[in-house]
Amino acid sequence: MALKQISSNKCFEGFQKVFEHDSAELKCKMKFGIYLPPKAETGKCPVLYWLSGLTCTEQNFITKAAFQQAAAEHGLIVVAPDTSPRGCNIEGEDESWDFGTGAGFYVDATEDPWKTNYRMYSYIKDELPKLINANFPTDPERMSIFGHSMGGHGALILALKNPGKYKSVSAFAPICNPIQCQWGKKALGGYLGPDASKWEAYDATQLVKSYSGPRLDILIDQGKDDQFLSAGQLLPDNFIAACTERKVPVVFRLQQASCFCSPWLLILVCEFWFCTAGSEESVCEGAGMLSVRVCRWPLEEGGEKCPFPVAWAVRVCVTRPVQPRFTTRGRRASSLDGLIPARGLGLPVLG
Amino acid sequence: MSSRSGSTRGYETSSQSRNQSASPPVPESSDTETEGLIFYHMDLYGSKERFDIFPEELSGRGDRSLGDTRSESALSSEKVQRPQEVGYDLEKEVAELAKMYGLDEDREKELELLGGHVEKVESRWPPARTEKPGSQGSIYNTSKSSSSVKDPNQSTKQQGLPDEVSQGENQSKARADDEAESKIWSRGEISSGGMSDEWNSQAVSEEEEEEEEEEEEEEEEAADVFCSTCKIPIRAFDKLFGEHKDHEVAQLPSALESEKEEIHKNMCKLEEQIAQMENVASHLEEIFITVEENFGRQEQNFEVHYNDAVQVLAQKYEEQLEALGEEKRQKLEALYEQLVNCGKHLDTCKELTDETQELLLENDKAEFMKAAVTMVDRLEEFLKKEVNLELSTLPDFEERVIDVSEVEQLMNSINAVPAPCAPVINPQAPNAATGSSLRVCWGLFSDDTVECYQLCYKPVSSEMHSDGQAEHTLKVKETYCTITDLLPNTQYEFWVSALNASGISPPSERAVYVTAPSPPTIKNKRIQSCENAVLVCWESRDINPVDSYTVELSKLTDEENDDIITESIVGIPNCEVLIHLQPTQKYRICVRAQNLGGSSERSEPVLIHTTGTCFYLNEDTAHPLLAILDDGFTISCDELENPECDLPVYDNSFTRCIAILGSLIPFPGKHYWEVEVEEDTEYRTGVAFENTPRHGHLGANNSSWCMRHIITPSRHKYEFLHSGMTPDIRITIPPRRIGILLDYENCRLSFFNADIAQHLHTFNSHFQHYVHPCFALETPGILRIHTGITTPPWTALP
Repeated sequence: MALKQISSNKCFEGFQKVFEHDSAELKCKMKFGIYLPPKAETGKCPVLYWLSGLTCTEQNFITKAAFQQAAAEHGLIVVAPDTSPRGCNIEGEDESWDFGTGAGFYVDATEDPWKTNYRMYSYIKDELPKLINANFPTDPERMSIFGHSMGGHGALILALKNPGKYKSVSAFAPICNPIQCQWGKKALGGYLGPDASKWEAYDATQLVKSYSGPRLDILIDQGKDDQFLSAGQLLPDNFIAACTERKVPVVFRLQQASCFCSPWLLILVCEFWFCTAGSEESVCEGAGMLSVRVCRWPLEEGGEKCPFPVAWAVRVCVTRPVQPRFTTRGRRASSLDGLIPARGLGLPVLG
Repeated sequence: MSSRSGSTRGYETSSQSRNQSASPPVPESSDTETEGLIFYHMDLYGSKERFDIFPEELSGRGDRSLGDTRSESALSSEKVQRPQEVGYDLEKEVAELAKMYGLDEDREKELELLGGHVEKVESRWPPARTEKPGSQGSIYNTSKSSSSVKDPNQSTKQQGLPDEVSQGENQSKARADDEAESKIWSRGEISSGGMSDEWNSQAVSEEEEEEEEEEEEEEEEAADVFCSTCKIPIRAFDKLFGEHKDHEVAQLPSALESEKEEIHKNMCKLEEQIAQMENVASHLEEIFITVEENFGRQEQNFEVHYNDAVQVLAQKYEEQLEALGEEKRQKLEALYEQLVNCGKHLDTCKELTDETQELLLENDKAEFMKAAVTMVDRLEEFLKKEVNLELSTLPDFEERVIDVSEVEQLMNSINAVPAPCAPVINPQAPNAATGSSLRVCWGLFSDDTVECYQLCYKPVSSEMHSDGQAEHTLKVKETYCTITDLLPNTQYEFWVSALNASGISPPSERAVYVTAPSPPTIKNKRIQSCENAVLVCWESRDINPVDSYTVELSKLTDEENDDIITESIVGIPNCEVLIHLQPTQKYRICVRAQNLGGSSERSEPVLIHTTGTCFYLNEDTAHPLLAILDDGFTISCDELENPECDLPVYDNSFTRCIAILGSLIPFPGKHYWEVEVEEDTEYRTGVAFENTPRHGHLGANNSSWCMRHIITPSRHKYEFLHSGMTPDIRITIPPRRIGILLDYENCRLSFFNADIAQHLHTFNSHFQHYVHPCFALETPGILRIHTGITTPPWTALP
């Protein structure tokens, strides 16, 4: 599994790199972004996997999230894989933005012609971590996962299907109940076949009903004005209801703001807080006032504080690039002034 | 000693120079030598180190002895003679040695104490040894050799030659020589034996001066063990085969060490005794002076008083004499007068008799008759006159009472001095009082004799009716008195008079003393603490104000030492104090009140565990419908009438919201507490400024932050309210136990589901003032508040 370095940029004393490798699982060349914090030069670091949403590549997160500073400060390796196999020459893979390329949906396809390449679930679960652990100074015991939209769906199902594998899971505006929504029906139907019962294996709301394992503490942020929320693509209420029934602790925050700009992932990461004394199981929330708590790991060599001024100031949480401008809804506008750049409205990212 | 050693050094060199020219010692000195040599004993200090000294000493001589390199054979010859001298005046030398030793002890010890080695001592000794002119050269050398008996370096005996002043060199060489060599030498010496007797004798005597043990060895040469049974050094050979075969032996150096130790111990004892005696002596001196003074004074006193008495007696004598004379004169005068009267009477009688007889001789009857009638009349008249024959005065002395009372008094007063002057009462000494007792001190300026003092006191009262205030009087022998059974923190007036047989002095000035306060009472239920500090309040048990308070805190460990006060905070003017503490420790805290008189007893201690934040509920703020149960931390509300009811409302209590405030320690750290709630209870809990509006709802204003639980038909709804606004947050598991973390440092207030360590929400706010926990019930139910909880690690926040 040779890695080929595509790019390497010094970033906050660490390196933001992009690698390409031949994926055995996906039978194609895959790229992923990895941020190596300065701490990685001397010791092992926990890894945080980011799963992007529909239409994204590994670049969206790298270029738009501005997470590197936080990752550098906390000594986190952040891995941002692509969202689907590319260039497999499967007919129809580029036909729509919500199926095929850029829309792997983090499932292992069982239907032709997708079943050869579209095995994103196994790729994220097994191949990629192995590759990362083999090539970078990681602490394999400590990995967490989070994602946005389809990536949030991926993060949830990966965590729910693999109890204990991830120390924490959280999601921005995740597709919570794909078997009930258009995106999900299309993708799952395409990858898994028409038998809807098979889909349930990749449905967070279904999975949580049968979840057993270490207690998961799930944090979900959702923009209130998210157009896909109102369009019934995300269905967080179903997931919350299931969690309530199953007594799975979830904090679901319906955020006032809804916009998309580059600091949003910065926010994510800065909430990725290391508990100084918590046990491995204590998946606790970090800076809860921020938009999304991603996960928290026990700190390695005790007592590192995580003061993160930028993150502190940025409290508006943003989940979806619906409105092409900043909305603070007055709540904490003062603390945002001058902190969130007016630019950063990059490529629109869909679910 | 020191002076001696100083001078002997001079001796040494001069005599040395003499010896250079004259070989063996000067005859004149020979008689004195034996005595003079004596005190030296190097054996005490058997180390090689002492040799170092000699080079130094000898360096001066070395110049003169230049070119005087001696052959070893010559040196050895000196030794050969020694055996002959064994037993030479042994007793005498031992005595000398002992004397010397005793004298030198002090210095020796001193030096040892200084860490200097015996070498130094020895360096002083040689001069002492060499006081006898002419002998010193040999003495010196022999002493060396004797020392070398113990020391393997027999070769030092080389220096024995009187002329050879270059011992320094030799010694240093000798040091290098090994024992075997030295033995060879000594044997060689025996054979050669060319030294003069005198030398030998000197040499031997030197040896003998050393410890007795040495002497025998000298004969047999190097003794290397010490026979404990015989108390002599012997050769190891003897132990194996000789008479010491069955004796207990020790290595010579170790025996030496133990002996030295013993001696050292004794010297220490001597030192102690000296110090003791010096002490006693100085005491005696003081007593001597005092006795002298006292007797002098008494002499003067006697003189004055006896003179007085004599004068009085003389005066009495004169008075008596005068009175006696007067009486005598009066008596005599009276008697004389009576005598004169008697005479006159007699004369008259005679005259009458004569005239009568003349008449009888008259023959003329008529004449006779005529005359007779007249005569008879005269006679009758005369006889009618009474003649006073009684003594007009008594011849005896009148009984006189001699008044000697004055003299008696005088005589008495010879021993009892006049009535004393007024004593001077001291102002109150600090810390001489307790809550119920005072120690009063006074003194006398004059050296009057005082039998006892009369101490009076009464409480100082501002009111005028002093008659009600009992005045107490005590008789005290000393010039101090501890009065007990007083009231705490009260002023008392004291005055004192001195008494002796002659009378009582006027009273002293009045001094006001004040008793120490009563111990304060810590308000146990009002203690507020957190991991890093505690706020302790107390109240004084006295009516009068006290000056200040002292807080004593001791950190308790698992071991004992509970009473060790680790810290005191003094001068606290009011009845509360904030003390910084260390986290996760136990402290015992006591308070004392302090005034001029001293400090009170400790208050009842309180135990503080700095495990977590503890606060109490401020009942003054409670809404009338809100009840606090006995544990002080459970609040309940049974019925929900119109909250704005007519129930009595205190100024400070909530009027609309059925709420209560806690009193949280004003300390800028982290504070964590938990609230246990029922699932179906609607409540608000959070923090609020102390002055948050009492007529409003918690969270509805900008002076309170709280989490609110509402039950809607569909679900449990949680709001996180500040200024009436809340984020929209859904929580899948209704918390039963809410953890609240107030973190001033990071300007945040976080809520957790404590049972599952789930973060629910965080407010970020720069709290401009200290806030207090607040709790409110919106439906009937109870809230249980838990304090003193260690902040759980999962609350750690960025």
